[in-house]
Amino acid sequence: MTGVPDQPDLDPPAETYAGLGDWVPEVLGAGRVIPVVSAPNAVLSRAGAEVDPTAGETVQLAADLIATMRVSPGCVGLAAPQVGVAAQVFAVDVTGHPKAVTLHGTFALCNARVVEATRWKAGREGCMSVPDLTGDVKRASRLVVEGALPGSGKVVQLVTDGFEARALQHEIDHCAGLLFLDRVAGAHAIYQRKVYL
Amino acid sequence: MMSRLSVPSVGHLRAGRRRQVVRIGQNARMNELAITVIGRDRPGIVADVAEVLARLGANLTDSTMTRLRGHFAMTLICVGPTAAAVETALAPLAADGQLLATVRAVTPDGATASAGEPHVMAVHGADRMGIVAAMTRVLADAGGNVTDLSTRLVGSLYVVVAEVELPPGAADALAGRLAEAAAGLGVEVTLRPAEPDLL
Repeated sequence: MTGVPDQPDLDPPAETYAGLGDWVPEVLGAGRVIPVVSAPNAVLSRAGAEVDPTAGETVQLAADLIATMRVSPGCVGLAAPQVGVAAQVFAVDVTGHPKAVTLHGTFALCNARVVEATRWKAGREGCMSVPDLTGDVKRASRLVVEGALPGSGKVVQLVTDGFEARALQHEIDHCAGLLFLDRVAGAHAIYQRKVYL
Repeated sequence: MMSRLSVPSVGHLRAGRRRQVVRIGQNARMNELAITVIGRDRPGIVADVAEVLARLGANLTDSTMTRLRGHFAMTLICVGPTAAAVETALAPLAADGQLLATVRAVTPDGATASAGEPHVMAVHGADRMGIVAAMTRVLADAGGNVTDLSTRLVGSLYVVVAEVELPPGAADALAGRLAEAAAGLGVEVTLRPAEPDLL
C-alpha cells in the first residue's frame, strides 16, 4: 500500500476507519474458482442485496471472488453478480497495472458506496462479463469509497485515484446492477474486441 | 495533375485540403451528393473511393466509414461534380461485384441548429427482433431526434447506443417510458445527459 497524496480533509463517521488497516485477504480462508457469467445474464442487471459482512457465506463469497479474480488473466476486479450472486460484494486488485497510482493491494468490500468522486476523466474499460466489447466511460479519478471488510465487518474509507478508482466505480456499479455499457460516452464509444467475419 | 480553377467560395474548405480541390461548379451547393459504398472489407477501399472523388474535384465534407460485421460501409456527402460523373467514375470499383456504390443528388439544407438537449441512450440485453424499432419509436414520440446511433451484436448480447436530442425538459418522463418499453423487451436501458468536454 502506498501513501495517498493530497488526501482530502475528510471527517469519517464514528467507527469508520481510514484504509484497510491490518486486513489481509488471507483472513477470508481458501476461495473457490467460480464460472463468470456474461451479459445478457439477468443477474448482471439486478441490484445486489446488502450483505452481512461478518456472515460465513459473505466471507466465502469474498474469498471466491478473490480466487476467481486471481486466476483470470487481466482481471483487476470482480463483483458478486459476475459469479451469479446478486449481492453487494466485490474484490479488486490493480497491483502492477500501468495506470494504477494509489494501490491497496488485494481487497474485498461489502455494501460499498461512493462518498466523494472528483476529477472525472474518460477512459477505456472492459469487463469479464462483456468479453467482446470495450467502451469509453467517464469516471472519477479521485475517489473516496466506504464499505465493510468481509470477516471483521469493519467499515473503512478508502481514498484512491487513477485506475484503482476506476476499478472501484466499475465494481460498485456491478453491485447496483449496472455495466459499463450503461455509461458509455456516445454512439461511437463502444469497441469490438473480436472481429466477426 | 489537373489544373485547379478558381473557387468562388472556399469558406467551407479546410485549408490543408484545398490542393485536392480541382474544380467546383459555379454553385457548388447545387451539386451536393450523398454517396454510399458498401462491400466486403479489404485494404484500400477508402483510398480507392477517395481518389476517384479527388480526381473529379469532389470535396468530401461529412462522412462516416466503418466496418460492420466484415462489410466496409461508407456514407458520405460531397459537393462538386454531378451525380452522373461520380457514378461513372465509381463504376470500375464495383465491377468485380464486391462493392456496391450508390450516388444520389441531395438538396443542401445547410446546418440545422440544434435546439435539443443532448442525451445518450444505452440499451443492452438478449438479442431479439425489434429492439431498435421499439426504443427509437419511444424517442421519436417524445420529440427526440436521434443524431447518431450504433448497434453491436456479440454472441447473444445486443447493444444499442444512441445519441439523441430531446426537447427541453422531456428527459425525465421519457426515461420512464423507455424503462417501460425496455421491460417489455426484456432489455436494460439508461438515458443520461451527454457531457460534452469543452476545452
